[in-house]
Amino acid sequence: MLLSISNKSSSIPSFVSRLRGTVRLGAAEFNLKADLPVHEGAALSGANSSPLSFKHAISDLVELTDFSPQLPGDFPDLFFEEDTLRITVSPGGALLSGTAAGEWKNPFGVLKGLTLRNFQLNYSSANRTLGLAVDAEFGSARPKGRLLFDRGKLRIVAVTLDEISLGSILAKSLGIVWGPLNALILRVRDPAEPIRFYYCDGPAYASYEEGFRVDQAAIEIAGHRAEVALSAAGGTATLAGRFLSDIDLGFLRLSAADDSRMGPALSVDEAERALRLDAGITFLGERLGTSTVAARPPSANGYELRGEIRATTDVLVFKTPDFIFTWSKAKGFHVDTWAMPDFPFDLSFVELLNKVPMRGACGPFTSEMVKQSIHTRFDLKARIDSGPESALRFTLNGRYRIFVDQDEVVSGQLPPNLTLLLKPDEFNFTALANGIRDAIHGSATALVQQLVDPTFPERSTQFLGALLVQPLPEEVANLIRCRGWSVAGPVPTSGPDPAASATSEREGEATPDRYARELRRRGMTAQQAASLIAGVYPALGPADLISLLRRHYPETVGTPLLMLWALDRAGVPRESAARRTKVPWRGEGFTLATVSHFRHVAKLPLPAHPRGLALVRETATPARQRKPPTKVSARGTSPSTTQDISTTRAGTT
Amino acid sequence: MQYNAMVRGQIVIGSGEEKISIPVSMKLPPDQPGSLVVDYTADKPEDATHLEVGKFADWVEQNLGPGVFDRTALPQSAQNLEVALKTLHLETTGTNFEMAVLLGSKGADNTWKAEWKPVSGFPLTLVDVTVDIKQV
Repeated sequence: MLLSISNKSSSIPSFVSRLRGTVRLGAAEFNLKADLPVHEGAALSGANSSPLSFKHAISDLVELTDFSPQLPGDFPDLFFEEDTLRITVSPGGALLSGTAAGEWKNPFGVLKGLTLRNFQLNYSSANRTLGLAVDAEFGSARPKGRLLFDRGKLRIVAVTLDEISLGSILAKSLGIVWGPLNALILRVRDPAEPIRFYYCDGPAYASYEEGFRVDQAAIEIAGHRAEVALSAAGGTATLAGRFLSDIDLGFLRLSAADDSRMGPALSVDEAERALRLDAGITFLGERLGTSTVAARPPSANGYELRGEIRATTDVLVFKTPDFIFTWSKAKGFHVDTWAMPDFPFDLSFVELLNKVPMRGACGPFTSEMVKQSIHTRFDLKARIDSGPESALRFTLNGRYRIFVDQDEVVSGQLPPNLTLLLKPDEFNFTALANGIRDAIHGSATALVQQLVDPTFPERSTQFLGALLVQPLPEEVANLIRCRGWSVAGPVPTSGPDPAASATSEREGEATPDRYARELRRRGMTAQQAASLIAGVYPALGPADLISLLRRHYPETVGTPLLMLWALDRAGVPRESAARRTKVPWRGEGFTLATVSHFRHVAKLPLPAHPRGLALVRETATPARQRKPPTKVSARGTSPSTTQDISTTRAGTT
Repeated sequence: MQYNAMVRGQIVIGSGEEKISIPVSMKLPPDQPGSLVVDYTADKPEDATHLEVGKFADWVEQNLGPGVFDRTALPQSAQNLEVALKTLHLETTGTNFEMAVLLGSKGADNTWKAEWKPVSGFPLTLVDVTVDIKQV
């Protein structure tokens, strides 16, 4: 009998068909079914008909692939409730998917602070890597995670994050504090690849490195991104990575110390609690070798970058630049002290002498009047700060030294806080050198004005004596006299000429009195005047000198110690001076020390007067004793400025 | 003396040499006038005659209608299976038809089993794989 139904029915019958089968996994049966007909491939699908142990399910799955399941000892007992694990068989293969409830805290005992929940099995015959997706909790974060098996062994627990603070991971999982570095925020290095926070049990597997690790992360330092990875082993954490590009601040570039095309490599200096950048240093366009730069995240007061620039060779006129810098976005770039010794810049003294203001009309100095072998060097200390419009502000302090025939004849302090701005288009050493020269030149008039200040005739005499061609032509002497400056030898207009003095004496005129009166008119003290008068009138004895000073400096005579000092400056023997002034050499709290002794204390060059004595306070502190004896207020600069100028006899002829 | 009349015959699924012949018998007169009912359950379908799934699909198409059971709708690995009739219920009124066939194949031990490994090389096995066809 042939079965034929459709053609024999009065009405057209319709039929349905269904495909079904059963799968056993663990102790549970999965009844799969698919309704037919379908236009495309039928997919059978069904869920577990009874609760199923997670471990049993996993065991059966891995046993299906001939491997033994290996779960860590702290892995929890989880269950797939009835109808929560589904198997689907389709033309594309077999797929198992389902969610087991329960939670796993501190996975592997390593990922402390992490709790995993809702273990979502998703296993396909197409990709036979056994893995589980999980919901996770880490502090306030609710990341997604996964468990990955390698031939039946649970090897990896990983969660993914878009952003997390480094301090959170260090504190929760590792119990480590890295101080300022805790504030670093780890962010995704690539939007398509979130941060991975994981533990890999055993050697590297499926792109995961062995052990505790946080990778595919990026941090930002000084506005520049670096890819980093955090790893931990044996209670020690390591953060390492590399900047994607150079850190370029315009004037300062930190690049790779090696040949890498990326930026500097970084690691963590736990002692410094800072990132350590191994960087090639380029400052003002000059590569100055490699250095270690400390880096930190921004904070209220701290630096973001701190390093030492230590060149091994000179750069133009700058002797092996060596200084420590800091940088932060809030405070900018800062160098406390960059010592620039022996900075050469020869001043045009002819021009500077002619610029000193005069009371009357005097002729100019010419270059023939000045020695040709005069050089000027500057021992500078530069402070660097960020200036306006991305410029660098250099604040210069230091000393100048004037050389004649390579002998130092004068030295002294520069006017303080000379300032120059280096604009972004001038970020090179040539522009810096030029800027320093301009700053010095701008202050040089005041500097020379100090040197010829009639208030300090000895210094003026010394300076001009060293500067000008000797013997001094009458023409030059007249230029000096016209300006009222002091110069070696008698100056008739302001002091007596010996020959004229003799004539005057014959005429009964008290020439030393005129000289003393002129010196006082110029504002000189008795001490200064005594020295000059004694030099000009060597025949004057102590009694005459004292008499002269009493007439013109009665207030000094009233102060025996000052009188004694004045006489000492004049070279009067101390016993004679003491006897005549009735002041003991060793007074109350004071003593007279030779200048050579003072020089020993203060490490200063010998003053011009070889017989000079300096008065120092015996009970003074060492610091006070070191104060130079010729410290005076600088004229032509800030009223509060104090200038230290030393002259030596070297170079004078 | 009371007499019973029986109608005996065979239902043939398939055609030619590849066919499943099912011996059926129906009592006369039927319980419901005008309606003969056939109920068949194979004792050991595994041991009975098997028909290639494709030929079974052809038979279904010819006798039940197109699209009821389309071989191409099956996963590729199922298209090489064989069919063994498990149950059959039909009523000659043409209003009630139901059949179930097992899908299976011979294993390495040459024993036919209603099992199906849907993914080649992947040791997941469905057992009691069945196609149900029902008139609605």
